Amino acid sequence: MTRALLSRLGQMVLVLFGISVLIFAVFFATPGSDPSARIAGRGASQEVLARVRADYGFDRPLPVQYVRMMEKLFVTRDLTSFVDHGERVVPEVLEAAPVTLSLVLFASVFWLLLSLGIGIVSAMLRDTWADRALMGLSLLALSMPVFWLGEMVNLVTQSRWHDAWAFSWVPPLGYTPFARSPKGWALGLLLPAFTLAVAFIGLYARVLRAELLQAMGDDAIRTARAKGAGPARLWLWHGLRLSWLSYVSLFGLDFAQLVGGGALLVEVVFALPGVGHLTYQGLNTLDLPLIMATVMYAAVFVVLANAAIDGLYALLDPRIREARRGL
Amino acid sequence: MSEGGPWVRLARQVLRRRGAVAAFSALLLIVLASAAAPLYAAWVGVDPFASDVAGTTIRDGREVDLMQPNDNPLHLGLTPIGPDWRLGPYAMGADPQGRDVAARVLYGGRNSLLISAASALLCLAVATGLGLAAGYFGGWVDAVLSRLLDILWAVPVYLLAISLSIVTIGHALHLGIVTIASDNLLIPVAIIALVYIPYAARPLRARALALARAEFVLAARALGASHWRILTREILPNLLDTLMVLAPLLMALCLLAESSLSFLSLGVQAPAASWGTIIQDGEGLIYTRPMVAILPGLAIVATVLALNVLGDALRDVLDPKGGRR
Repeated sequence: MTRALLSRLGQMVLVLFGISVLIFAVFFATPGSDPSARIAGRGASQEVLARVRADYGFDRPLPVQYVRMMEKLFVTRDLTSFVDHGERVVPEVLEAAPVTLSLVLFASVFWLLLSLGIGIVSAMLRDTWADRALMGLSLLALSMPVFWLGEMVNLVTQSRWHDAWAFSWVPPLGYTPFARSPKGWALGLLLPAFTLAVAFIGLYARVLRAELLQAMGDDAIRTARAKGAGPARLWLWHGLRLSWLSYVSLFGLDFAQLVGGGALLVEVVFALPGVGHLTYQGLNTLDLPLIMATVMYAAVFVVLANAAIDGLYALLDPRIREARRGL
Repeated sequence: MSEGGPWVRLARQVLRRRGAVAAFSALLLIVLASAAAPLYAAWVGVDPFASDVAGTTIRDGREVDLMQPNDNPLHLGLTPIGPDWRLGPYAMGADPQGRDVAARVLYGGRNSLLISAASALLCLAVATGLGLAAGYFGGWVDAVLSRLLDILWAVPVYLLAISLSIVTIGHALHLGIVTIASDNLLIPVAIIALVYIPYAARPLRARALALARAEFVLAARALGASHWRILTREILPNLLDTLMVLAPLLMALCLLAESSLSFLSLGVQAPAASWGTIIQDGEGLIYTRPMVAILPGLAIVATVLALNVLGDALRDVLDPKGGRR
């Protein structure tokens, strides 16, 4: 067990190192592009260019640059934006994180509950018209570009039918911190979270249905049926027990990716000042240090979250522990 | 029972499904309509790329301005003309620069479809190479390639695409003697293909791994076949079904990624259009002229849905057991 944990830890460190090299290379070693011109922003003067070059040490070899950049990001945490008058980048990212976390948490409640419901109902009613309709809707849900769906939601709830009874509760776009007004916080996040969740509801419902139907062929289910288990017990207890693993592992991955910045488009469309929105602002001003910082934090978060999930599994499921040992 | 070759049989089995037929027809229609974009623009007589804020058009026999005064009491600002739902110029209204929305959506379809198809193909080609190498040779080749894919996959797909776009956009790329202009469509194609390589390479590696231990491969090896011959003649043909299931699903993902990048002004560059850029153009008009954003969005949904249905049908036929995703 200890050896497995240590090797997993070693792998994680390797992946983290690889990611930081990859992201650094994308921003500072892309052939044929001058990073100082991009960091200095649009229409920067020669002095600013020279200052950027000196500050980041672009005249020095790449490994030295890499080490200095990582130091600025993770040790001294004083990476500064050149577009935004010397704003420190790291505190900005940390300040935006709670917004993104609230949004994704809200969304994941939606998508877990709804996809569980749809997946189970669909599997139980397999090959009926209800199953076909639910699966068709799920496919439609995961075929929609999330930013477009968000705009359509805004069109309906902020403008066309805003005064109708159904949508008069919708607050204007933006974010209300929980500390200021819990109710405003929840109301403001409801529609963005639902928009973000739609594609995942479709995806997860389809995955769960397929897993459940596959589980129904399992010996354990045959035994349970032979022992006279009713449909509710058969599907909810025995079926879910056999099929939750891939569902939950998928959830861990997607949740981490969304918190890490995958929710960018939804944050932009609904004007939520989260990490993704910060990245978006960086795009508009070509603020490279800001974008690099958000991407780096996102990737690090995804790796740590995945490792945590893997560890949790190994604790919960003896089969995985055994498989690991076998490798 | 089974006349014709395997391809004929496959086509027949897929076409037995009503959903697949509908999806295929819809795709064909969208592709043909996009291909006919210049014909449409010439026929209704509009230039979908030139800004024309001072222009006029004919509505109900009268000449009207393309940019109309706003409805607000002070008549401040201008709003482009809305749709009139009749075949002719500005049938779907104009965008903020006075350009015909319908014609731009057709032209945008060309770029969106071209980029997503090309990036899906490029991604599959590279992923097949990596998957074959990792699955067949195993050992340290597999270990290195798998870790590299892990690293690529840990960065959220859209963030990686955004990062790559922001460093390649705006300035031309100088790669030795080759210079790639910043509005070259190859840039978004390469970026989108790259970010989805892990998605495609993993199932391909798993298949190649299983096939590398199959008896017919052992037999080929015993007969003294070279690695190259085994890979291209024995294993690759057996990956074909996995590739065919992956292709439409991957193209659907690539189309969504392309439209997202273009929506963030990081994909197709103005004045060229893609469905994503038109939605971006329509964002500021969402409450007054929603059709500018609705139309390209519907085109995306229809195309992605059709691709997903087609991918599902292919998987049901080729791999009846694997019902996941």
